[in-house]
Amino acid sequence: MTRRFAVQVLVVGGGVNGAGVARDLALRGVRCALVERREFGSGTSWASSGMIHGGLRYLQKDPEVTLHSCVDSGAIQRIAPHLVFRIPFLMPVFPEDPIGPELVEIGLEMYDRYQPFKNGRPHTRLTRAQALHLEPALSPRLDCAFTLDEWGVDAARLCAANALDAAARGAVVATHTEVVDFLREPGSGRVLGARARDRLTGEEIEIEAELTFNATGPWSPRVAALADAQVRLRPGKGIHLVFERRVSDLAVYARGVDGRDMFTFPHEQNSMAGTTDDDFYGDLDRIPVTEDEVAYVMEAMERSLPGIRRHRVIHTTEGVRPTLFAFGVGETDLSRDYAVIDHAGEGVPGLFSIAGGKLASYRLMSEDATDRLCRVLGVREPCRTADTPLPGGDDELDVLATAKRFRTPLPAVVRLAFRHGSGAAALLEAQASGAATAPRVVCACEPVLDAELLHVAKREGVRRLTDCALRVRLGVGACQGAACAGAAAGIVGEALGWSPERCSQETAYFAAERWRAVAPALGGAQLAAIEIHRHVHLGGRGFTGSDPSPPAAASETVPAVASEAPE
Amino acid sequence: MVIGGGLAGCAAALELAAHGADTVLVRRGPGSTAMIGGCLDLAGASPLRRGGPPVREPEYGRVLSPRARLAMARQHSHPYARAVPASTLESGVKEAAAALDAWLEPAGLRAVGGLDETRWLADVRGAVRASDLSLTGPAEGALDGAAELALVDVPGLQGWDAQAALCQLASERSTLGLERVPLRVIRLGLPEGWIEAGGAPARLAQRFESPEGIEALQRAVSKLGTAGRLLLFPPVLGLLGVGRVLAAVVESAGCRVGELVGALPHTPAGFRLDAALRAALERSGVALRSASVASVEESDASARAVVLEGGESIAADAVVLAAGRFVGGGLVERDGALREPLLDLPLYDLSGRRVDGVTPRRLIRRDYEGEQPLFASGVRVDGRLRPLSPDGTPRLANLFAAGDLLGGFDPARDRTGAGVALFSGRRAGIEAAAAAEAGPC
Repeated sequence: MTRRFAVQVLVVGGGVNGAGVARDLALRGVRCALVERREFGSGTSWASSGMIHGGLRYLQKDPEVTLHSCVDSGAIQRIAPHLVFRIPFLMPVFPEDPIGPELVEIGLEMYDRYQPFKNGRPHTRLTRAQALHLEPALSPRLDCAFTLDEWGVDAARLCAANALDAAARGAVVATHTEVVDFLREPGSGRVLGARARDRLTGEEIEIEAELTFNATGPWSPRVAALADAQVRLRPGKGIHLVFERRVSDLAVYARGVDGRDMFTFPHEQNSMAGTTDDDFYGDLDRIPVTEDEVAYVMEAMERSLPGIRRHRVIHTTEGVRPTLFAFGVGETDLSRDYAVIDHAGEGVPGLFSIAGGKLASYRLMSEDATDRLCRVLGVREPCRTADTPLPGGDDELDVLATAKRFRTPLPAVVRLAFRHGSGAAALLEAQASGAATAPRVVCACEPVLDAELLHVAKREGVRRLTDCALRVRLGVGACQGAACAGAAAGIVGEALGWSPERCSQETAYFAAERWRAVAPALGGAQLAAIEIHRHVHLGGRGFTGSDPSPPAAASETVPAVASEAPE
Repeated sequence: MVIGGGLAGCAAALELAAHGADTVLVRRGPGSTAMIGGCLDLAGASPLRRGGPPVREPEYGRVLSPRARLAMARQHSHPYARAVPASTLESGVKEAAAALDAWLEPAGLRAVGGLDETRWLADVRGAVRASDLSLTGPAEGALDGAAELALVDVPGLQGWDAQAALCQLASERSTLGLERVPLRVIRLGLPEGWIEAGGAPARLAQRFESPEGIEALQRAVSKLGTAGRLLLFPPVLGLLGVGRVLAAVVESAGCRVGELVGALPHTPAGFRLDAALRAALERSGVALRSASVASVEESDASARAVVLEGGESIAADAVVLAAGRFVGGGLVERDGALREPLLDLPLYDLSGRRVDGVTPRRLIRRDYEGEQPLFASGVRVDGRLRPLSPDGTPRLANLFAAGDLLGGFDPARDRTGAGVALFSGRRAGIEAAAAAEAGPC
């Protein structure tokens, strides 16, 4: 049986661009649908550095990109203050660096002009002693150091917040739903929407749309090809290493053996290090993280932070940038500019794609893309995304009072407020006050409360346990879900009516997915954590549901797209 | 000298002491023994797929007896196969189970079972397992013979969801074809604010063994007992004094009471086991040293002394190495390579391939549930549990290895970790006692 409905715009892809456009459309009163093949932000957005920075790096060649990023960073801070955190950077200058302190300072002075847009402070120059005092882990070989200001964001949550707000404003939003074909007008070839398939239930959905917007990032050439249209990318793979905890108080610049800039930066409860940038022609659904890449990042970090190898890498992230195509240019020198493509030019009217760009300027890109769509639709509503708060971004939460009121550990409330902003109190009210007891901590690494899991299951449309890793950072800490995945499956499963078999399958799938993230950098102290992980997930298994993927997902055969379930 | 203080090291030290050897056990901590959930499989999970994780019942159509499972585990490179003649394995494993019970009993902890019976135990998730040997607490929670199963909901306890466990338990039961007795959840009425914010299980277990805790428990269960009912608690009935707490609850409830098998973060059973083993060491006169070992001194193909970090050297006539795998520190990654850190012993995976010096990530495979060479690797031993050199001869005449450090099996997949620790630990202790008796070689 096929479900059918009609909208004005169908947005394909629930990354930051797709979710951003869906929200912008919804805010302008355009009826739209958003379909995402997996979970919101599970592709390039999740794999990004999670920074809405201006990109000092682009200042020389792409000052436009820097300007856009900085201006939009300021806007994101306005609409989602809860999801954003300041990351002060230290840039050490070593004797052998090709660019000396004077030249660095000239660059930073230029960058200072952009700081006001994103509420950043101007740079400062530190002596060697000052720098070491501020960050004792720094290599003492440095000559001097500079500080500059950037901002981090929970990218996956930012995607979810945009998508959920779009849904709250009338958009039809579906995750784990994949476009399998476009609806075409015979003769003209006009795209009239798409046929999608629910990857969990197998249900077919036909979505008629006046316009279809392809925001599938690195997948966009493949999706466009379904309509015989072309998107040309220069896909660039990037990986990050994620450390068990914060390995430095400040973000620290590092230089790769090839001279590329990288950094170690505090992010969420962890530190991350990266990123790489390499042309990628492989399977987008199985992006490999190689030993080379891990070693390359580590080597770079070690030069700035000599003790870095003592810290424990718990997992890696990997993704592919949908960079605009260019020939004869090195990866790092590729433009980070973006393009909105109207495929009418190649005889496929009704279909638009977006390519390129940066997380930091997603809102601006979405505004531009939405303007283009609205012009075709004849909609004249202005864009309001720069000033309309995302859910929870309207007010600050009194975390101390909330912790006291709901008898909940303060660190858990702080993290809850980080993800849900002012909505955290209502969330606890709805999910916890009915119960006679205080909310329980389910995942101690993050921490995540049972109330938050119930909320995302009942109110945010979470459909698989693995969705929770992105949505609320369940099980992405040091133990990688050894201690929490089973219990979390029980809680989410109860809310969603999962059978015990399904709960076991979701737990097993969660464990296998974490293994995929852990395996590339497995070593050191994390070996012990994974020994425990295996004891819990393999040794503790009962007799039901040992198949790690639900039957519907396992049996699906969509030739264009490989199943994400492990073999 | 015994290096390592988990189940294997303690078993070795207790056997050494029993054989009259002057024994020192040095350890950093209890290692993975602290994470035991309360059942110690001897013969492997039922059913067991060759070299693989437990599989669903339909693949076998029946539950295998402990003996059949032991015979299966014995295959290939498993320590059970390497260490003994087949004819003595069964009796050896049974003796090991009895020995453990005798060691623990004075501390009020029992190890119940052996190869002659299989108990059906449920864990905190509601997953059911066939257990050969279980500790006080979970042992009393055997599903067999109950006319009604009542899961006790302790509201606010971290990682515990009675309703979810109930659903899982019901599903497991029907898969296994176990007797269909009524299942229900009963909520435990505790005073307001009894469980602290966040619901940490260890804190609650500790609170329950205090006098006020026992009183609160007794009051809460006093009306819950009915004929034939089995009250199943999450594993929080005391941190160490489980026997005492259990007896008080049984008395007040007037029906059978047991704990569910623990899983992280519910592992009081591991703490209880560790405490009881330490008490046994003390009674046996084993000197327990909390320290890290820096090196083992050797000369003339024999171990002569164990050097602690800090420089202290302890002379030894025989050395048992039972430092576990990655959790215990028996295997480490050093400069990107897999190593046995004390003697740089050669390491082998399931298929007998040499793996020391190899980068860990080259020893793993994509399939999480499949065979992972890295997690089945360890030292290879001769029939007397002496680690072998690459040429197949014992590395040192008086060095013995036991427990997870032994390679050739994957305890997470075949679940024989505790059985191997107990069995090989005892054997290593006996062999080391003989070597020490024989005097310096």
